[in-house]
Amino acid sequence: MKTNLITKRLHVAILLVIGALVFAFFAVQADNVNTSVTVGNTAPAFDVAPAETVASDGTTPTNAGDTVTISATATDPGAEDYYLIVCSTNAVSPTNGAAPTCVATTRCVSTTTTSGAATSCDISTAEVDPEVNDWYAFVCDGNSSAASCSTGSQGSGATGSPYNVNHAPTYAGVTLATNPIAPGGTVTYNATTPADSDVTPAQDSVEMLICRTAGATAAGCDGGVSDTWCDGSLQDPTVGVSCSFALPAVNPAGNNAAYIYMFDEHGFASTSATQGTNQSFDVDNVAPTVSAITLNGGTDISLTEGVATNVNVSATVSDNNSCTDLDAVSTSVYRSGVTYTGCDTVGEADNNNCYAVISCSVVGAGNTCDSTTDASAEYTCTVSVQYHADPTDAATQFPTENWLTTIAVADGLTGGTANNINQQIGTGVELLSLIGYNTGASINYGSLNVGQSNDPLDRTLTVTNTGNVGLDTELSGTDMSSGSDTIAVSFQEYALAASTAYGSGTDLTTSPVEEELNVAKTTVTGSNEVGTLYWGLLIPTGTPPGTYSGTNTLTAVKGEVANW
Amino acid sequence: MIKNYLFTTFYNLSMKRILSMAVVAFLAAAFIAPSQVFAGIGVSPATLDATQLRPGTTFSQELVFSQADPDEELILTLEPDFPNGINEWFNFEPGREFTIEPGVQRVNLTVNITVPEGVEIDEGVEGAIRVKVSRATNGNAAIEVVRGAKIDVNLATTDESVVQFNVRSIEISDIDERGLGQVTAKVENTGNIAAAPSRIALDILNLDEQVLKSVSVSGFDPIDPGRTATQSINFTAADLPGGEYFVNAAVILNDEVLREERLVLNKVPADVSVQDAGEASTDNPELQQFLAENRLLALMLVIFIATSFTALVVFLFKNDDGSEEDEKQKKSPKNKSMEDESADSKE
Repeated sequence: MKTNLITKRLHVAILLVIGALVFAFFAVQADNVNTSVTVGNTAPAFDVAPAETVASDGTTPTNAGDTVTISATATDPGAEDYYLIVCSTNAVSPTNGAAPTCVATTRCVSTTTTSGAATSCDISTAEVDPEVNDWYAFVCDGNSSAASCSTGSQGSGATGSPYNVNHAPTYAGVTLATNPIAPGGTVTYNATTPADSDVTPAQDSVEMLICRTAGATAAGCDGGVSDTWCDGSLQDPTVGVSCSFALPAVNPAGNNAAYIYMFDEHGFASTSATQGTNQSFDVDNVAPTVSAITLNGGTDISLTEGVATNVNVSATVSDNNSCTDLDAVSTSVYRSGVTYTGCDTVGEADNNNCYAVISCSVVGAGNTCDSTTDASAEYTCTVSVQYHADPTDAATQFPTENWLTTIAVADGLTGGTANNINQQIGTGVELLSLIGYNTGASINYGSLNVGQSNDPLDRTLTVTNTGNVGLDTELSGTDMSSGSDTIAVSFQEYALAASTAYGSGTDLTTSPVEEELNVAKTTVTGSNEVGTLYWGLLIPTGTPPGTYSGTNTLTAVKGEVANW
Repeated sequence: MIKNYLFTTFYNLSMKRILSMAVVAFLAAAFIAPSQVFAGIGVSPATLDATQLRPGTTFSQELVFSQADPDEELILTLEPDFPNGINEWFNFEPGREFTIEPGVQRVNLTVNITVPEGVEIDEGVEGAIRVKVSRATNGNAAIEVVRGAKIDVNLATTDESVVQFNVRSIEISDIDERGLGQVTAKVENTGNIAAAPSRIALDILNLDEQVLKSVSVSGFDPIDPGRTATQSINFTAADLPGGEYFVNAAVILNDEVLREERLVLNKVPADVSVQDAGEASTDNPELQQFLAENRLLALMLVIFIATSFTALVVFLFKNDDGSEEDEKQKKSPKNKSMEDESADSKE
């Protein structure tokens, strides 16, 4: 115990000695000096170099009217707030207690920004700005007594100085190469004095866009492809700007709206007066054409005795303004000697040789008229040709002629009558001769005694002409008989004139004999020409009483043309 | 008495008059009144010229018999009238004699003239064909009138072979479901030997008149002299898009174009259905077209809808079933006892 106490006291003593020695050492070394210093304002410095937030250069310029934003981050050694200022030259003037100013043109200046925080300012652009614009950025503090700015920085690369202003293309208007344009033709719009002042890195190209309705961007017409007349290619405005498009082969006539737009290669729209206005074009009203005309199917016309015969005419009518543009289609059917000129009005109609202006209609199936994109339609017309229409085959009044048809087409009203056309068939057909007639069914000589006769010849047989040729007749007969008793055919007589005495007529024979009855050709419908034959019979001696009957044959023959 | 006398007298007088009038009328009807009138008849043409007959060949010509009022049955007889046995050259269709039923207004007849080998008629011969028309049932008239018409016929032979045609018409048909179109020419042989045109040629053009394809077909069956036949060629239009086209068609004999026509060909687009009258039209053609062009999208849409609907159903039913199951489990004695035990244990 006692030993420990002593040890502890010894330790303390040693420590005290050491401490004293140390104190003494340092006390010998130290000086006593009074100091003082004046600290100056240091300009802020860029932590992040200034840069265009969206690169603005010759490839991607900024459209006039848009802004160029310069951003940067800076730190002020004195932890003061700072300003970002962008100048047109490398010269800036700090302002104590306020924002700095540029010696030349201030592009933009930010608001006060906390040291170390990012900031930006916007440069407004305008059409009046040059294409290429240098900029120098500075960061400045607003020290109240010794404001200071950094050295200027132009950034680097694409986001560095300069910024490029893109100017809108201009044009005075547009002209149409031709107007109106026929369906299937080309519509070409040419810009008048097109221009674009931007030439960095090369002359800006421009394109024309033409829309069916108003509204378009550089991407195209608002309504898409179906709304687009023409989406032109980029062209050098110093050479010329145009846009062309082809009309469909079938296109209705009339005025078509066309809204004009011009954009430069950067998609910047022109603000010229013509931009977005309707510069319409006209599709011409073209004349229709007629093809594939057929008359009676190409077959010779064979009429029906006593009544009208329907003769069909067909044709294909085409109009590149579409079949809906056709106003009326009609046909005239006529003997070739009459010509169409003699059969092109209703007043010229004559049932012998002219069936004028018969309406035609579109067929119900097949080549119908479906829409405004359909160019053609087949028309059919029915002409009722009377039984007495002039024949044109051999040994008739007009053996060198035939029958023709002409199709008359009235074009749409928009074109007036200028496009009305008519087309005659290339090859006509013959209208064949028709021997047609009616006559009495029998001859009754009455009740005669032996030796008695019909004197004068008073039994008549009328021949009514219901065909289209003049008529003569062949006459023949058989013996009359009553059981085994007969009256020879020769006891029958006939004559062409009334009041011919029996004995002065012509004896009937069993062989046909031609008589010049000369029934004229009928020329008035329903008022048929007639001829009369006068008949009589003598009962010869020795004829037993009885009722006698027989058969006479009347054969119509085409009469001599001179007697028609 | 006087009254009765007067009445009787008057009566008797009137009766006499009546009877007299009847006799007179009868006589007048029998002797004075005109005979019964036939309905008319007609024969066309009135002339037949066959002046290029080649011995050993048959020439044909059509005739038409007509009548405005076909109110009775008739018997038609055709009689050639030629010398020197030429009558035997003639043959008629439907026959030399046949019946025409009531109601028939027009009858087409064919005259066939077969010239024997070695026959020569250098200067020609004139004759006739007489068409006789008699009633099937005769009346009781004293003289029955048989009607007829005489067709003048001129015949001549030649050793020369004459090949010539009259192209009556050229027509085109619609495109059928196989994509085939057809052009038909009606050709009359106006020569004197059986022959056919050399070929029929087509050019198919678009509406800008650009030739898209050409077709030429030959080897048609010969047409007998005087006959008319239709000669057709088919062409494929399956490779053409829907729309309208021009077709220039020509019938050609050797190097001569006998006839040419410009025709119009219509082809309905493949994605457009041909609608009959009364068929409902598509209410939303744009949607149909969109789905048609985006079949995969349409299929995915269908699958999505189907799957969603199925899931919804499963969900609804599962919930119902699950709820029921839960309810069942809740109500099951086993569970109920377990719940009781649980409650007891909690207590």
